[in-house]
Amino acid sequence: MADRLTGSEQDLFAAVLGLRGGERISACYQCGTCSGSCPTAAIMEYNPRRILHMLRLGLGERVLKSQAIWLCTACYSCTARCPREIKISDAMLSLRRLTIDRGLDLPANLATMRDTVTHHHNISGDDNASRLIWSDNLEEGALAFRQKRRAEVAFYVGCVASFYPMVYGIPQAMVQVMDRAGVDFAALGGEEWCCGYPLYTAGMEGLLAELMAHNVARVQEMGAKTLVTTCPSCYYTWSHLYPELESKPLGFEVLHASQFLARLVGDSAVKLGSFEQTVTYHDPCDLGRKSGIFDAPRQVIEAMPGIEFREMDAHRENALCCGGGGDVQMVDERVTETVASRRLGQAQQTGARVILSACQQCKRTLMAATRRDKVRMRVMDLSELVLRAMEGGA
Amino acid sequence: MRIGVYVCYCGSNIAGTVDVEAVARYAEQLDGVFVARTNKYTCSDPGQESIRHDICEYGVDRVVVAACSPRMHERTFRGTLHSVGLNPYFLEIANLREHCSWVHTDMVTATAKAKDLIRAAVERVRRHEPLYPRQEPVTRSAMVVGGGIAGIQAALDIANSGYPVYLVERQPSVGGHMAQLDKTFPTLDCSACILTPKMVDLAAHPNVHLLDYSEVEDVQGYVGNFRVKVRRKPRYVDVDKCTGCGTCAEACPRELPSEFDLGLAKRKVIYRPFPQAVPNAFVIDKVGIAPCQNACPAGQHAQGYISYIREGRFEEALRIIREDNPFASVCGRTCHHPCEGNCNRRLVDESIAIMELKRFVVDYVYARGLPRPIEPVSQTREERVAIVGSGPSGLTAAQHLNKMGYGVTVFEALPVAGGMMRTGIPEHRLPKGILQRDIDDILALGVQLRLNSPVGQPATLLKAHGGNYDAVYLATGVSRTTSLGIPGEELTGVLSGIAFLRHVSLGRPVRIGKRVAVVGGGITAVDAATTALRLGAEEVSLVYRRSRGEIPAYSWELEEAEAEGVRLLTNTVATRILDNDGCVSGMECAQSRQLSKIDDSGKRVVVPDPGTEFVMEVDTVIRAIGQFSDQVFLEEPFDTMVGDQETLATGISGLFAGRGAVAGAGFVINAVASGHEAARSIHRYLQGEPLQQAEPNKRPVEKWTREEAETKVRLGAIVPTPRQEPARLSLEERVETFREVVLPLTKEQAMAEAARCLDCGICSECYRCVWACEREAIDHNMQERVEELEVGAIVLATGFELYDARNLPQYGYGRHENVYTALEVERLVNASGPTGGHVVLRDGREPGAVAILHCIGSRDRQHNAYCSRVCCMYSMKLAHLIREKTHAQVYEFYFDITAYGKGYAEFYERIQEEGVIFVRGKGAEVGRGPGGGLVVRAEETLLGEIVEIPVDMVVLSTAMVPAADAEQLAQLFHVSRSEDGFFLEAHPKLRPVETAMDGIYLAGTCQAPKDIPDTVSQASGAAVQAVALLNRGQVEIEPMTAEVLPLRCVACGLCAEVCPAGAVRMVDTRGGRLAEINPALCKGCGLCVAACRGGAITLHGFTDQQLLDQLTALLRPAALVPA
Repeated sequence: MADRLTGSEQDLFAAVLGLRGGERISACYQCGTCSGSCPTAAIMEYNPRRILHMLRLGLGERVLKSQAIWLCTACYSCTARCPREIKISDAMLSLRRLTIDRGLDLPANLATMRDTVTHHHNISGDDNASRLIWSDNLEEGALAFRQKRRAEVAFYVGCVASFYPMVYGIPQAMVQVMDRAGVDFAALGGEEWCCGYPLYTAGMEGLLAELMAHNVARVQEMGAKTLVTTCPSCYYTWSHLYPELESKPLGFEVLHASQFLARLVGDSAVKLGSFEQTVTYHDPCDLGRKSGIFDAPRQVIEAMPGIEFREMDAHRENALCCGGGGDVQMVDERVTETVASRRLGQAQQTGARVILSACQQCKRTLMAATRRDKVRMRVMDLSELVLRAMEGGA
Repeated sequence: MRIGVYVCYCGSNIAGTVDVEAVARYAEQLDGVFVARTNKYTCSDPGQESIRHDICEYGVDRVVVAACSPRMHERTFRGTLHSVGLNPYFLEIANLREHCSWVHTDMVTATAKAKDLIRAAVERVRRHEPLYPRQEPVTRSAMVVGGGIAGIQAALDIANSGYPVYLVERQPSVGGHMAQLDKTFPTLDCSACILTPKMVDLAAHPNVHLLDYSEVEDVQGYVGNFRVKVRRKPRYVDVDKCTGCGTCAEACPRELPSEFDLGLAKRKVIYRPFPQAVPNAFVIDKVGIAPCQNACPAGQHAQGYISYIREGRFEEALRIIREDNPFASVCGRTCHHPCEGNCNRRLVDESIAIMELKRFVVDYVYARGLPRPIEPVSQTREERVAIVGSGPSGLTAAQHLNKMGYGVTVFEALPVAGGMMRTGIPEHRLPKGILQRDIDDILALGVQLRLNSPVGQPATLLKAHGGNYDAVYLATGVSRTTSLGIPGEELTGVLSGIAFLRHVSLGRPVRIGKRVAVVGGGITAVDAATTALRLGAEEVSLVYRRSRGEIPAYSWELEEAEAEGVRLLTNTVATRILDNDGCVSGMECAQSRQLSKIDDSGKRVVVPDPGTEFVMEVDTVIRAIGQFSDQVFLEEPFDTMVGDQETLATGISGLFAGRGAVAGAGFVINAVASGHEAARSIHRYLQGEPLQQAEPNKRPVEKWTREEAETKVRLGAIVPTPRQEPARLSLEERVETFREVVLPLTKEQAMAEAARCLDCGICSECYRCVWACEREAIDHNMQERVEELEVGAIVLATGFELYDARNLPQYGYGRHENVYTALEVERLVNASGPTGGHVVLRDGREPGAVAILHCIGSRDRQHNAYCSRVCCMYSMKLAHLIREKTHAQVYEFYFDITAYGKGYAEFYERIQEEGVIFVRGKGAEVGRGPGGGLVVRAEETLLGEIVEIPVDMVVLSTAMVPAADAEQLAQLFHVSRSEDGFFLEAHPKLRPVETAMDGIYLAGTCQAPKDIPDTVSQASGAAVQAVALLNRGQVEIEPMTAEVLPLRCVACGLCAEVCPAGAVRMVDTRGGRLAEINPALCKGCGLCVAACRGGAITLHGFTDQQLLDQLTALLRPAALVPA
């Protein structure tokens, strides 16, 4: 063992034990379930099991300096399966935080991302006032929401859907569905700020408070009883991180679009026409494993006449990540691509023609994979599927 | 009072942290303390001697020992006191070790605490009273619950010690999980070869009473004196008669997954779990009664004959129908079929067309001239029975008695047989020729029929009254006139419905007009209306006084009648029939929207609304408002005679009669049921048996809920399929002829319809096994029994279950067909298993590579935190067996190897040497590989690399878990469970086979996961404990029990509710209702004392005063405490 156990290194282990996800690291019995379940472990120089062991041996400094901790997609597979109930995924983010706190190097793109979000209040660096640009081409009738200042439902669009044209279709579909279902809704437009999830994932939890304060105040001003978002990461932030940070309830209900759509279908506010296609569904990690929402999207899919729904072998709690989580795409895009191709392969095994998901990031990574791998499968968001079925099906 | 305090060093255990000498000096000056001493080890001989010395020499009469936990040595020191004649309960232990020295590090504070504890103990011991243990005799027999290897061993050991032992086994055979194993590790002995001799010994042992297929239902009593109720489930096969030949199973038509082979093979509904089963007898798998059978008044085995129809075996189907009902043709047409109304299939789509199927069977058999079950029965009994009336009840009784061997003669007043079936049901619903078929078949059995033979005085038929018969059954129905009670009823053109139908069916001339009104809403009314149409009436109206929803006729009949042209007037009452020269010229009716008060008969009477009268122009009125026969040839007093509600006996010995209007059109099946009843009662009478017999216990009805049905549909167990509908005559054809309206199902339709049956009762009672068994060992009417047994000791050996691998979906069990559990593979490698010992994949191929995954559900906080202790070893054993039988490469995915037993580590080494590949890393997930194989993904942690190993078969080494009903068992026997759910032993080290409940012992895996050697050892240990108790012959009952102070008890019952030992019961005494505590059952836990709001319960040895003084001493402000 090259490194010696120095005082500061023991402090480091103690610090990890005190952080989110660190609590039970001492109980690890090195079975390797985490690494075997990890979508990116094969690419890491130290896989999750080794990282836990190294921390205990006082080799934490090496861990903090490795790229491994930046390659975690925060997919929670390890956490979901760990026989010793160690929250490994959370521990990885805490290690990122320690790295930053100790002034060690962090990937350059993440430093840039930090500056972009804090200055522009969005992840792409575009003018935040142009947040509703995706809705410009919609028919006149569906644009009423842009004028509204108060509404029952606040539609929180999220940065990716607002600024990446590849997934404009998602908010476009969602507002059309809500419009036809007679939902009283509005969006925050330029007053919508990034929820802060990319910062949280990058180990910059401390920067969340300002964003949260702004966002929560704007939604409260709107008088909304319900906040709906199509982005599972925003949903996780709003439903889990904000209340924890605020240490009090937000005063309105937070729903992911899949839950809201399931409710509209259940209440017959949305009437589904037939959709004669074979589809499979990819569980977004932030929605499924992290938020426990597995049934709502399936309820919507199964309510659709004519649809043939086939589960992938790895589904629900065991779904493989698309590779798009944990800010890994900003650190090393090739890692994301490798994971996305693997997931696409699993989807192909079902024989489905359409991969559904309920996340703009999943849609981006999987769509990119279909193009790169020349796979003839359509990637759709649940909201887009519902809109198609309302229009009379495919 | 002289108190002695003895402070123990316990080596350095106490003295290392507590200043023992200072504590003793402190104790010495406490009030009442006569002497305080220290000892190196108080529990040693010199230590005990010092106590004895002080008692004898100085008259010390209260003792405080300040040492270790009372769990350790309280008994020891009680013995010390007892040995020199002091009451052993004048002792108090101050726990200076577990409560003080072991949990503190600072000597100053620990010493201070030790002083506090001693001061409190001194205050308490002052209040001690002399207590005396009680002696109770012991019932010298034992019970073992569970017939796996643990139970077998314990039972044999107890039996060999000379005591009778009852072994209760829930399954049809003993053997448990060990019978399912192929080889045992590490010696690779054949499991069955070493187990079955023990099973045979057990069956042959004169001291063993094997209660197979039984469950403990209730346990009362206490150590040495348990009273246990055991529910003996019916096997439907007489164990003494059954030779185990298996002919019945060959005959049985239905297969189910074999539990013994874990669903990898099939067994029949009548089965034996495995060839070496003990007892070596078959058993029939029945759940409740099918709802169709339960709903049928005559108990027709619909599921049974439907199962024959499904196979195209229609003669047997008819045989089954006729077992319970001679009128298959009739009931196949006119039954009100409550069977269909209760069919579980209604929760899925539509009920099975049971009535149509019945009709199909008879029509098919007769149309093809197939043999029918009509072999004449020889008259084996001397007695002769006369039946008066040839309706369904009379003829059923006749057939039933005839089959029993009695001579039977039926007397019928009319020139035709059949009663109301003949005269009350019109030709277009029940053709005469069809009815005659059923009657002819009854007569073919040897029943005598005398037509045109009215019997006015039936008693004269009895031998006692000069006749030729030993018994007579009056099956005539009861006369009752029903009139409308309105003016004009006497006019020409007013007919009675029953008479009208009878005249028509007997071919007598009947005159009806062109416009007919039928008053009534029953089946007779509808039949009269449709018959009138066929006789040429141009306009037929059915006048019914209540609403359409209340009409008693069946909706399908009504709808068909309306389709044929019958007009229905509801909420209409007839008020007057209009007279035109003595003939009917019309009928005045009124609306009736309101009901009057309830009248004397308990029914609401319909009253006409004033002012709503109108006149119907009709020339014929048929009144059909009662279902009663008006054709009775009996003379007084027989015309009104009814039989006893239960026995059908009358005041005249040997004369039996129906309960009243038993026979009525449309309720043929009820009449059939009453006929059977009469036959059974007459049989008892003739055999001199008591007529009154207890109702046999009925099995519960297998009635599903909608949720259950929907679940079965969702799981694909039931596929919704439309009901087959019979063809019908066209409307034009119907009203012009008396041809049957409904046509029979086709053969294809019938078989398709029969295939829709859900086999709710599992066993369909098709009787094939009964007919096949030459030993006559099968009895489908066998009843459940409850046996009450008295035993002195109980050994629990209820075993384990395997954790459901579906709870870890990442391993694909239940999704990938070649992912098996280890126990399943155990069956695959077994020579008598489902594949004859060939290790093959589901498609029959031999696997080229096999992965065995350790710790599935064990050592996993998300599932079971404990180690199951046997998985490593059986995994390696299976690796060996798989490699012995195939050329497969075997991978063991492990991360620690638990090989702790004798010869185990050597076995591990042997398996390594044999070439099994050990991958150190827990299998993370099992996926589908390219080419349809499986891929195990894991980290090889010694390499630090992620590996994906393609294999053909995955074996999951699943955890051992407590039986699913462990909690119910624990409550039943008043034993506790540990956190892992297994039964809790009295002490983990020193009393591992005892429970906290005296007289109840543990053996095997019900206590914790363990292998066979440990299980057998523990079973022998439990047996010795039980035998020791039985040998002692009496038990000492601890005096620390609760007692009720009667004057304070308000009988609220709270104490009885909280008592975990079931020691409290509420009793009525001369002084009123009181709680009473059985000291033999009381464990002294004190829950009742705490629960009692009136302070009416005291616990000896823990009285309020003792506890208060102890606490006061502890809680007194520091200033008041002696320094």
